[in-house]
Amino acid sequence: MKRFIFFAFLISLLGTVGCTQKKPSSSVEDLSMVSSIAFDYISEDEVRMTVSIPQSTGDSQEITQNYTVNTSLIQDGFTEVSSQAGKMIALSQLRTILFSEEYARKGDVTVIAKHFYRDATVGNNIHLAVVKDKAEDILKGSFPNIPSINTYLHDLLQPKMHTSFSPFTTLHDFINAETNTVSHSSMPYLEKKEDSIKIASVTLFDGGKMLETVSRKQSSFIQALKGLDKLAPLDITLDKGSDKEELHIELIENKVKIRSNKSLDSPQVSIRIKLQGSLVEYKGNKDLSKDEDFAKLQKDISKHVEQEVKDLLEKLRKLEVDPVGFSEYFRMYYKGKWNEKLTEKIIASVEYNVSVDFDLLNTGILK
Amino acid sequence: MDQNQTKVLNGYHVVFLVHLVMSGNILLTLPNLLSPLGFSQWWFPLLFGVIANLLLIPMIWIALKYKQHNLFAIHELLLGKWLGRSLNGFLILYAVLTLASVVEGYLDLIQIIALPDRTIIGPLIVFMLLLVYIVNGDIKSIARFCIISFFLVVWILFFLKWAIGEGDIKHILPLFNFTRQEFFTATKNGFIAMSGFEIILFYFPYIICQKKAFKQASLGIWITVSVYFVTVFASVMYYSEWQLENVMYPVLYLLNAVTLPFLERVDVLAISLWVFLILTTAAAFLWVAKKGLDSIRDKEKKSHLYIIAAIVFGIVSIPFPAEYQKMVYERVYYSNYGFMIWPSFLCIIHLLKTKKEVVK
Repeated sequence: MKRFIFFAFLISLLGTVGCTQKKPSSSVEDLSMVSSIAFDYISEDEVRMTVSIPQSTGDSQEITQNYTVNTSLIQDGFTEVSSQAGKMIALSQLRTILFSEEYARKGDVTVIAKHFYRDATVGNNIHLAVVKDKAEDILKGSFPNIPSINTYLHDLLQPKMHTSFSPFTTLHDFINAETNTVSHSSMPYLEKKEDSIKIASVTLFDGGKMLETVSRKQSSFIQALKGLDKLAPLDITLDKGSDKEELHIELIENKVKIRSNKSLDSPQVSIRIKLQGSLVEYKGNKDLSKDEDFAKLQKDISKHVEQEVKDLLEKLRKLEVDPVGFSEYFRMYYKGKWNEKLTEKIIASVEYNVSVDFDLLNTGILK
Repeated sequence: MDQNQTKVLNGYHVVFLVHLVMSGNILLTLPNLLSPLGFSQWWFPLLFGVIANLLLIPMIWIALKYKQHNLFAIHELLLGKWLGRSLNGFLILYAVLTLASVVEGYLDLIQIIALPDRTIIGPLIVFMLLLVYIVNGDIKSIARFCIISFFLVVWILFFLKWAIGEGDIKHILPLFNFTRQEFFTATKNGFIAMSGFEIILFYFPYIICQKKAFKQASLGIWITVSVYFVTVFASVMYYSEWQLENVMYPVLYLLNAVTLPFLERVDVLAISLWVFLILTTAAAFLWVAKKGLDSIRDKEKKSHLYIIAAIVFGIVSIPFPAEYQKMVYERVYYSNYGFMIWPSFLCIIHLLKTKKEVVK
């Protein structure tokens, strides 16, 4: 009897499922999955937001749909886009956020980044980048060789060997660098070429505002100082008046050791960089099959790179930013709360002792 | 089969009962609770482990003096019927409120992360049904559930690899960078993570080999401590101090760092699996409350279990004002500390009482 009642209960429970009302909750078809967002500057309180939504096949001829709104609150903008699109906007598939250079310089990137960081439906691995000119044009532009701009941007901003000079800033990276008191953040800087997009250089940020761009080579050294294992290919021109040498080095492995003297009054940092790479191309007068010439070349390269790193550090000091986070080496030994004033003091007064050791591993298999 | 046997828990049961009842939803917020310490928080789980292990000593000692009785019975024996029973009443209230706060905390999280556009009443009903089903099988069924939960959930720790890889090991220095005030605030907020091992006072009579219970319970505590340690360590490496203070569920964002080609948003997966940790904690407290009601009413009845489950369901589903709720749950947390220290006083009372009897 008991068993009968139990089963009757179960079956009636299953039956009653059919009586439930159609839920107002959202199924995938009713959602517009945003893939990329671009922000352009209008005025201090208003921002121009362009939202790019890939279409499911068969919905329309266009592969992506774009909506642009001017808004002062971001979430307000999404509501407006929802009403334009006729579907609920969902951010769970968001991959890329672009800022125009004007917005990055005049607006506050941190405010927007924090907005998305707060939203639990947005992942923390979405990539951020700054765009030369208008960010809207990148999402709306037509590139004959690029079938879908959203996938292209996503792939472009994924870490890869040949673009490893770029910091590939994710939402977490940006928030982390902006909120810690020892370092400043950076972002890849995109430029629209005729029918493609490329990472042209890297921008430095301080307090949510863009300061300056640094070249790909300099950015590569910043990554090296940050401790990246494998660096992007390096072009070096050794110019000593009469004999000019050009080199292309690939597969560079990097080991960096940074030490501070723990003193805030006369801060000193010693930097030892050990690089190893394969010489792929060489134009010059040296006969590299001779050991002495080869050794001399290595020495020249080491000296050259050392000078470039020194120039870079000098440039960073002038800009009063520290994307590497040298202050961390002082914070480690500092008792009490570290603050930005101390970081500023370190940046202004620190003395760098740089030594670079460049080993060329091979020159290919031809003599 | 086990119905007529009182001693049902073997060594493995004890280890996993202690471990899983401890790790409820506090782990999700632990790095945030310890954030007044800044980066120095990474070794605090170890300190908490030592304190918890010390607090375990009087508990096991008093339990060994009354091998056949759980804490409710010990109270009656030591403090007399009236005082003992009113204290037991408070204990039941405490268990019910802890249970409600654990369940509510988890369901709130589910609502924020996984189901933002649904009400929690559906998940709550399913959760309570499961809970009653587990507790129905008595303490051994809870212990077995703990063991399976452990193996279903523990592999999530592997996903911390990404956060550790991206983090900065330099954050662990300096070691003692906090003031006394910060130390006390963080300990007050964070030590709650260790609560749960004191439940051993209730299931001690069911342990087969009671002499080894201390060793086994300590092992359980240190498994929890190592899980906490790894998580907090990864958080310290991965986050800035601002993030530790402001990200409410740091562990979720740690898992958010995972990038796998075939799987995105590991945090949602983890939060769904987390239900096992919540179920074990909640089941233990529900069982305690049921035993308490049994002892107060002097008879064992299944209906007690359903009554308590219904009360908890009511507390969680009635929308009390948020401030009031927060105040109540905070009090519950602090009374937990009192509960952890309480066995030491029981030891003293026991000693005084036996001395008196000897004098007589």
